[in-house]
Amino acid sequence: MSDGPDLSHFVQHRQLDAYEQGMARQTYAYGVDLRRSHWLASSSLGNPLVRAVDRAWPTLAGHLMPEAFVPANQPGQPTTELLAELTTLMQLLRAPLPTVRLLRPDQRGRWPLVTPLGATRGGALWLVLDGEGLLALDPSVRAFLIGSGLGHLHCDHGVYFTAHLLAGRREGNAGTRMVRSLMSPWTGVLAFSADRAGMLCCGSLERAVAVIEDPPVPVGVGAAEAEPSWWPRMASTSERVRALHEFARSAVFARLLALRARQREQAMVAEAGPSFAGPAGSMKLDELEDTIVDVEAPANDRPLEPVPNQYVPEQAWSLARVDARLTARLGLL
Amino acid sequence: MPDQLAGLHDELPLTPLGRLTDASRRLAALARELGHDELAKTITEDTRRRLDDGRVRVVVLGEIKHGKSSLINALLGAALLPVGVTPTTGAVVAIRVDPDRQAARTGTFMLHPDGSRDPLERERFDALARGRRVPIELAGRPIEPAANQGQGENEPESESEGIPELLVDSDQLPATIEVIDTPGFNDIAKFRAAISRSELPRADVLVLVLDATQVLSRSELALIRDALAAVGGLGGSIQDSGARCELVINRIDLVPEDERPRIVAHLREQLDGVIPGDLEPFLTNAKLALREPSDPSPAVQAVAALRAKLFGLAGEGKQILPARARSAMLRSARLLGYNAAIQARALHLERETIAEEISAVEHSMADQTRDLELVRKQILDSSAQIRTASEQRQAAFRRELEEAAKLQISKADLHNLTQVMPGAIQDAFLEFVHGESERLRGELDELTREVFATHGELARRRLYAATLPLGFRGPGLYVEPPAIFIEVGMLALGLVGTILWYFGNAMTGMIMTIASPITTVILREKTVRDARVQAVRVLPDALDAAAAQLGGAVGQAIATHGQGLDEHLMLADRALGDQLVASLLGAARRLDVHEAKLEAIAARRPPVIEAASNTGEGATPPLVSPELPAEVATRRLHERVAAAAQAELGRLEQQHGELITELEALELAGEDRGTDGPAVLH
Repeated sequence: MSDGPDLSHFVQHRQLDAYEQGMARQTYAYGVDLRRSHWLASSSLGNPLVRAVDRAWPTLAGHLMPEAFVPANQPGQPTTELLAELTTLMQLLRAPLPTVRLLRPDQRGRWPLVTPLGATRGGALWLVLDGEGLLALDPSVRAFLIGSGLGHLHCDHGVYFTAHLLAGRREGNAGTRMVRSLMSPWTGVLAFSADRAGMLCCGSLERAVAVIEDPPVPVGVGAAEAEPSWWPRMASTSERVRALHEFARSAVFARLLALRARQREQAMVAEAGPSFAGPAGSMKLDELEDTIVDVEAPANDRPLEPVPNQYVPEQAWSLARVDARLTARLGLL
Repeated sequence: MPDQLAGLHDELPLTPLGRLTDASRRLAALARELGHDELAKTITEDTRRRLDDGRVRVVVLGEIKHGKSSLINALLGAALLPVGVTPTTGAVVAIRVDPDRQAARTGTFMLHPDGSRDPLERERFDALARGRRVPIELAGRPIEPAANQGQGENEPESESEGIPELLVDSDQLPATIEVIDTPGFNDIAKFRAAISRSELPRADVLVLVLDATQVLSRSELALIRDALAAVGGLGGSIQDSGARCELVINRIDLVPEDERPRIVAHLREQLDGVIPGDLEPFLTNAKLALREPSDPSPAVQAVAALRAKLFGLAGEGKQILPARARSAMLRSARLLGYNAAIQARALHLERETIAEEISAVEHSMADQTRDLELVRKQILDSSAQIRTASEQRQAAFRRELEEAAKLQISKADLHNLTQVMPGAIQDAFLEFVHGESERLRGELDELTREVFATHGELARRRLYAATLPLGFRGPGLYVEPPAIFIEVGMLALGLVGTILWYFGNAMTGMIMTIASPITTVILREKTVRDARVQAVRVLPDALDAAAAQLGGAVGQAIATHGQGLDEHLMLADRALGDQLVASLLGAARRLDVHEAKLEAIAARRPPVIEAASNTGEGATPPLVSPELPAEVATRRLHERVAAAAQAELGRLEQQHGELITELEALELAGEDRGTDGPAVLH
């Protein structure tokens, strides 16, 4: 009998992880979006159709790798910082582990800064990053973009992006083009969940709204707009911004702010020693030092100032209320 | 201090020179924060010499009796340095014009570490320059000269000693040039002492003096490499260090004229790749040049040409020195990075363990009589062993994983095969990566301990950086879903069966109802079998790719670690023991400071703690719960102290990283880096 790795143990853990990740996305994602994705991925009618993308995936991946992407572990890629940040955001959302691909230098500008791609139900989840472009951004903007990309993968949106990409390429056939045209009900709502994930990661409504209204455009050969021509048509900017404003009133977002406030408060008594000053609420090291110095100054021998947003307000909206308002506004069933 | 650093950072001047000066202030402040006052002083002094005084330092290197001092005498046009039949120069000797232009002193002096000078009698200067142990007394106070300290060939010499100095007239040497005479390469203890005083890294121009009768021995070649590394390399690298190098083949009169081209050709061949560009050595006869400076022979004229070239650098300080300053600062910053990593790891230790490590370092460094080459060989050998052992483990795991995966594939259903198995195999692989990374960390730490008697966080960080991307490489294994006709066929059968059951006649409906599930089962079984075959087929390639990437990452991490140890040895050299102890002491001091801070906070918090117990969730928790057992409370307090100290050190390391990035990106006058423009537009 082999004393090698016990794969059944890992199979069970994978299944448990998938269950936990499913639970986690329900805590923030837009319910209508989740239901539609679930139907498409698992119904006996929708699934065979969307599996057309799955069948085209290996060929697509085989073509994309040499022409546009490099693996994240390619030597010379300055990705450690980016991957460490990605890990933190992944843990925050409880999102699945993506396969990271980085854009080749000659492809910069032809792809968005973050592109989620994949087949159905977690078989393959790719997060394509413009590493240099992302590292040049403000950390909170970067967190929003990566968070929103992770949100798309978390909510099984990768297949929609792949279907649209396929439809615009030679791998695309009549089936995928039909899938694309049939997908508008799904792509019309998928931005809301991803925007929420992005806002949770950057932790600021203002910054999230700013990114949606004025998205950063990657600089490169084919750069013109933030999104390429094959990108799915999503909900309007005004609708997305309004939806985010409502989500910002939810208990989910308030809980995140409270968590950060608690971290700040803990840092004030030097209990926290963050090793990664990421944008997702980790205490900045200089802020930590300032608070310690402030607390210890003899002249400031006073009770600690209460940190704002430390608790979830009682009047915070439930996620169901936020979803219901959005559904009513969109006129969906 | 943090506020001071932040304040300095906010006031970034715009000119490259101003930014260099500012960077040097910040780097020196960081060095002091990390407990390396000597290094801070060196950084400040060097930057002042290069950027404020504009003095170019020419360091003359060569093996014993190759005529370094004779060459310097010939360059100066007077027999100012002692020369003789027996090996002469035994200590670093500085020759310069009096920096105090008003005093304009000349003669022999002892230059103290604090910058003051005392006159030195000629005989004593000569004795010191020869490296002899002579008790001397100046101005009523005893002086322990550089060469007096050593008890033997390998005795480390104190950093706080003076340097014999020769002040000359400004018509003999330009005021912005200073020449440093050094002991011979093969006088290892004394040459190392020169390095330990940072003479080599502080050089702007290297003059390598070779002997015409024995051009370029193996030890010469190795030490030339070290000397060039110490100055940050010569051109050809990513960033020009600004250093210059001149080759001199002295005593050329001892070689027949027809053999001289062959010597030059041999030299060019040996130094190809070591010194970039076309080598044009100066073929000199220094003794004749001193006696007969106007002699028309090429060997004497070569000395004049060398003088013209070296002294001509006096007007090129603006081109050379900023790059030299940046290169020297980057060197110091790298050294600080190594020391900070040692301190970072020490913050995890108990006070007693830190004290034990300090004792071990002192003991080890006091006894360290090993040659640098032997230590380097040890690093290389151990790294190779670690790598071989890791490769064997990887190969064994690769085999076991393939067997286990094939077993699972043979039992998996379609869903598990396509959706779960690829991820599960990736998870198993990643668990091995983590375990292997931890094993390697231990082995690399042990190697570091063998060299330094302590170790830092670098093995952990290097392995983290190397193995982190492996998690994001993806499963590699992709099992395609069943073909569309099978899925559509199964769907159609079910649909037709249902329609006939409701709308057709009973018999046909019954047959279809029975046939449909059977057909579906058969088709599904075929699909699963096909998928299993496909999975088994793609498995070896996927595992090979994963194993190759792991092997590459591990190999890279081990090689980087070995190079890092080697670089740390070279950067710190004989000051290594002092710096290691300073890092460990810095960690202990940092822990003390934060423990005192936490105790001060705790002393002011009783009312808040009471409030916490009364109001529950709403109040701030106490530092350590009073209900905890004493042992647990002590451990918690230690953890919090360590966390606070690590946060502070993390901030310093962050500043250190930013400073290095800033220095590397700094564009000096005359540099054209071809800027890429912004990476992202808004």
